[in-house]
Amino acid sequence: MEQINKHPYIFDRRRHSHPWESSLRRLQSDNHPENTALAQNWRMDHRVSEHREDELSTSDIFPNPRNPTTDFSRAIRDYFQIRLCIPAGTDGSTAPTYTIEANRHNRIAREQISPNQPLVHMVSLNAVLPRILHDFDTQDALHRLTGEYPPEPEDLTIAHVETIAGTLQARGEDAIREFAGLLSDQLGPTEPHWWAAFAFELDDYLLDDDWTKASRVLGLGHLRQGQWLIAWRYSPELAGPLYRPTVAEVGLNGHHFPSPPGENLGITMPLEATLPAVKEVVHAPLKGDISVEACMGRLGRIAQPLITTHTTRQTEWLALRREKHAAQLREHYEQQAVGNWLTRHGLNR
Amino acid sequence: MNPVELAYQRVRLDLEAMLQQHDADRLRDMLRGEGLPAIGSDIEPAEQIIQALEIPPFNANLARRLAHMTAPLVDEQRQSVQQQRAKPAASEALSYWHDSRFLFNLFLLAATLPREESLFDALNGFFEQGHNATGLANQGGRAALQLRRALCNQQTDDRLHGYWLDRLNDHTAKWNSERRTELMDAWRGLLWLTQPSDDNGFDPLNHGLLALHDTVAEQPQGFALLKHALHRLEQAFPTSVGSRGLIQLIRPYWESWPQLLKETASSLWPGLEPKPLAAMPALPPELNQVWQALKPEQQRTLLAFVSTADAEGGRRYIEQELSFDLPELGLPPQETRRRLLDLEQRLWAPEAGVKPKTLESDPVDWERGDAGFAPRVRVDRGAALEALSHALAAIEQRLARGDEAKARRFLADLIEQQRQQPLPDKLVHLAKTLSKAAGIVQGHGYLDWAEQLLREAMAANPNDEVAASGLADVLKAQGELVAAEAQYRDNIARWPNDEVAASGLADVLKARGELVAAEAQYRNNIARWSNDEVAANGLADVLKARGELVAAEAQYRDNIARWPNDEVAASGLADVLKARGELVAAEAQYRNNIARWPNNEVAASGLADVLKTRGELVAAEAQYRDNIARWPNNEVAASGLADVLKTRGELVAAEAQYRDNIARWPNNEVAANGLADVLKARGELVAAEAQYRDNIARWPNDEVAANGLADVLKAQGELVAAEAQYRNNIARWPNNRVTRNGLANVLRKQGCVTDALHLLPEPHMTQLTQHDLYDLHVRAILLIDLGRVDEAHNLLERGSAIAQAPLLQKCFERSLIMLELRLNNHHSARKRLAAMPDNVISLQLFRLHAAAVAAEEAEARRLYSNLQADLLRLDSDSRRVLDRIEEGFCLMGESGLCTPDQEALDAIFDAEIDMELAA
Repeated sequence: MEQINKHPYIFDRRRHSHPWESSLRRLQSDNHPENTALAQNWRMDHRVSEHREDELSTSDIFPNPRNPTTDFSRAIRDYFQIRLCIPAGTDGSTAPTYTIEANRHNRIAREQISPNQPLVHMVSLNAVLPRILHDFDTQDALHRLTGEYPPEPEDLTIAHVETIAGTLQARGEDAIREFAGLLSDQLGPTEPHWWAAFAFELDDYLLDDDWTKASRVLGLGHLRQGQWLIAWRYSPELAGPLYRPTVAEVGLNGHHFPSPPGENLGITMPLEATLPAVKEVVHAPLKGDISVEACMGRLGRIAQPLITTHTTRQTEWLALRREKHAAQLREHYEQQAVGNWLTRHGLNR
Repeated sequence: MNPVELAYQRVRLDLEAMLQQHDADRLRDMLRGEGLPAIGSDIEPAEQIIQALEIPPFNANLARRLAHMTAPLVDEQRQSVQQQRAKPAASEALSYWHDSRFLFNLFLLAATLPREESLFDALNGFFEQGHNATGLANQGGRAALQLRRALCNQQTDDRLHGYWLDRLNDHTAKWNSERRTELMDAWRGLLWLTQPSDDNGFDPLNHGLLALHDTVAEQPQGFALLKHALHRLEQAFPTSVGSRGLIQLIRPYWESWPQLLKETASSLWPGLEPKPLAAMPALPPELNQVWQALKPEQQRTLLAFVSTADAEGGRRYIEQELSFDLPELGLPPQETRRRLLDLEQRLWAPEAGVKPKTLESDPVDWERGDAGFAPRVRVDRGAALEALSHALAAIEQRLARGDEAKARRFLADLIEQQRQQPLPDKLVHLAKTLSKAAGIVQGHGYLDWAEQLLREAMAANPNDEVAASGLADVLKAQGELVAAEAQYRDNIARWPNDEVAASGLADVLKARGELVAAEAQYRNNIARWSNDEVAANGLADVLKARGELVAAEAQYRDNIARWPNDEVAASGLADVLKARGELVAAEAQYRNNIARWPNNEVAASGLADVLKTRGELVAAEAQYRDNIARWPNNEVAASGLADVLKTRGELVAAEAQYRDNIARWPNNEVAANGLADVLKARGELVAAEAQYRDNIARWPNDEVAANGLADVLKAQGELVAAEAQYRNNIARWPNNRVTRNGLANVLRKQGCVTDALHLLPEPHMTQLTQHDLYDLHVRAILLIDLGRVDEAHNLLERGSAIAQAPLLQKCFERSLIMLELRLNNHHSARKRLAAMPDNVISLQLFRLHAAAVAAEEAEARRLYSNLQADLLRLDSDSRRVLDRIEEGFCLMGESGLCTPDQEALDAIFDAEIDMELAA
């Protein structure tokens, strides 16, 4: 176990020593800027309670005295797959860990958000199609919907996705909704939780089929130009319990930024300083008829580069973006606790 | 998975099976706790069901289907409550507690499930019919509370909008924690109903917030409650960091909010308030001149850059925007531009040590300027506002106790304190305090004082729109309609977008009787603010006042279609239907209004009035008594009751009720006149005269008393004095047709029937108003007296065909009967009488007259003895008719009827004419 001097925080709690410290420090000093950001987030995310930390520690996934050198990014990925995307429910298996008692304090009170403040969830077709194409029924259904058999997952190219998306768009809303139902069915119980923002703040960016700005507002930095997106718009009452997200639900996305103390929802870190940071939640995926019904029946494309940088090198961009975002949070919240939290984690103005 | 989680799994499977089999009985049992695992004593059955629904994977379809299945269970409860209410009280006692617990669980579940139309319908049905079910009130009323929450969460349409607003508006409810909870629930009811992002979607919330503010502002914890309500608003509609989305949405409304609400909002969302000038560094005179020449929005933008220390943005704004939209300094453009750049350097000095040259000359300014950059002193505005709110509450309390002197002293102290405050915008705040105080003193009837305070407020801040509006309003309330109109016009000229002033102007025009101008102003307002509900109602009101009843009805119906929860429009519609004589429709509309707004006193009064007008006097009396029981201070109901007693001929009871009303409301002019009227009706003419004279002395402008006096003089036979009084009245109120008709009658009695006819020329217009028809009626009677029976008959037939109001129609029909009796045509008269009600005194008198003329002695004696038995209910005019018939046909003796001579017949007809003209 290593003594902690330089980076004494994990989950915003000061430690004298911690079994993760060595792995986390390696992740932080990685050359890849997203890994650095990821490590910073795990250090600063006050939203992970001690109980949740216990659950993470005892999962045998993260570094522990027996395996002190476990790669932290691999642990994050494994945790996402095993503890968040496993089949869960009536067969007696374990529920996704964001829904467990240890994460209770991140649950958003049922009567807090109006049922008239709809949520929007977006998914990249390029990311999700390979996960469902291995199944013959899916291929058959896609043939019915698009007139062509899709390739095997490993052969899927951007051009294929273009074709599928183009055909779905041409066939209209019903075809897209049916496709949404197909996605939901095929992902089945392994479908991860949904990240959702509020339609009120996104609608303006979803007017035509270029959804670049919407993706920037949502901080979807892990996606790329040219990808196609499908979206759902629905009342929070259909989503079941809503949760404030934590780094534990983020997976390996380095474009996340924890929401500050006192904020009971998540906050996106937009990919461009001029765009507003919006609030976000996580919840169980919509399934069955509701998924078909709630689908917007439209597809959008990331038509432009998500990240534009003229003056700085790409590698520095994320660090600068985080600093600017921190400054914005400080300015908007105007609260001592928020300022102190950012200062604690080296995000001074 | 732990045992509890496993238990919930089992409940979930049970629920799935139950929904599969459509087994509503199973759901009922589950809600009663049957067949559920014993997880803990404090976990209610509904909570277990909810937990089971929420265990992963969450299935919204399951929840939806459950909502659908819950609807008939709620409906079943509504029916059961209905049945229980029909049974005697004792049989209910058994199942109270169980009912209460079951209801609680049922509503708790309903509150948690996704919205479902049939469930909302069922809940609403229960709410309307079962709101007083005993089970709801038990166990601290927790089932009732849960019902309210279920109603709130399940709203699929806006039918409860009026209810939530009504709860927020209720100023009479006792102030305790239940009331505060209710207010917050009602507020959430509105929040859950609205989609603020829609066009005008924030309007209902704005109304709700203002209502909440008015209800809580002066109460202890009022500030905390407002803050909480705003906090919930933000939570319900989360928007971006710093709530910018919400701020954008509410800023247009916020500008005109009352001070406490406004400040509470800006304490939560500082972005609402333009950054105050205090954030500006002090500027040397040369730069100050530049600053002052900037437009307000340019100043605001620059201040935003200053307060966020965004030097880059600020420089860009000056160099790229302001340099092309130069302020007017009266200098060459280049010089102006140079000064702008100096201002830029002054605001964002590029590097320490490099001082802009314009400022080098005055180092003192620099120091002051640096001090200006220091963090702003934060004043605890919340505490200050709460203190202000308490001080105003104390003033109000003193006024309520009648201690005007102390209230004045408190207010003087408060104002002095505000004047001493070290805030840069103290005059702005002072003006607001003065306006607020004016509102309070005005509420206690001190109109002059309110006017004085508002004038002071306007002196402190001539730009205070609220004070200017308040002044116009107070002038209107003082009856200074000309001054009020001028003030409103002034306000409109200064703030052309001031909807309140435009409305006020229209109102004042209406009050001045300038109905055409008022109508034009209302139409103008509607054209500008198409959503101005008040103007739309004002227009309908003015149409009603102009007698354009069809147009008024259309306007009210239009308003109701646009704002289905508009109580005022619904009330107006009922009133206009009443005025049009559509009494059945009016009654239905009043009943409908009462069902929707059970606390609508006006509707309850209207219903009683319409019943009275329809002649349903027993029902009317019952409704008035009911209204009095519910609203013991309802002066209108008390007056109405007295009136209906008088109309029913219960003169003794009516007199007692009037005396009671006068004792309670000594300033009730209507009651005082009612008393005089009832004295006159009872034949107590001397007492009646005294009462009228007393009334005239107290209310010299009281037309009714002045006419009553003339009438009573006439009844006493003092025809000269009566004529003088009538003429006097006509001189003062030239348009009063009742006076003119009274004078015509007195002239008739003095034998000057032709003079009398001159007062009532025959109307030749095709469109006759109600008043024209009354004149027509009086003219016909005079013609009968003159013996010009054909003309009279034509007029009466014509009037009867045109008159829509049932009262007026009856007048014409009675006069036709009278005419037929005069022509000795008793067959025709009796035929008419057969179709008319048999509990109306005047008709009974005509029946008696007809039977006597037909020499049907048995019938005549039966009618006579009935009328004798009813003697107490006969007013003096009716009694005189009875006396004349009794004398003329020898009804006193028992030896057959005699035939009256011409003199006796004339006396009978004269008495009948008096009776008809007095009706």
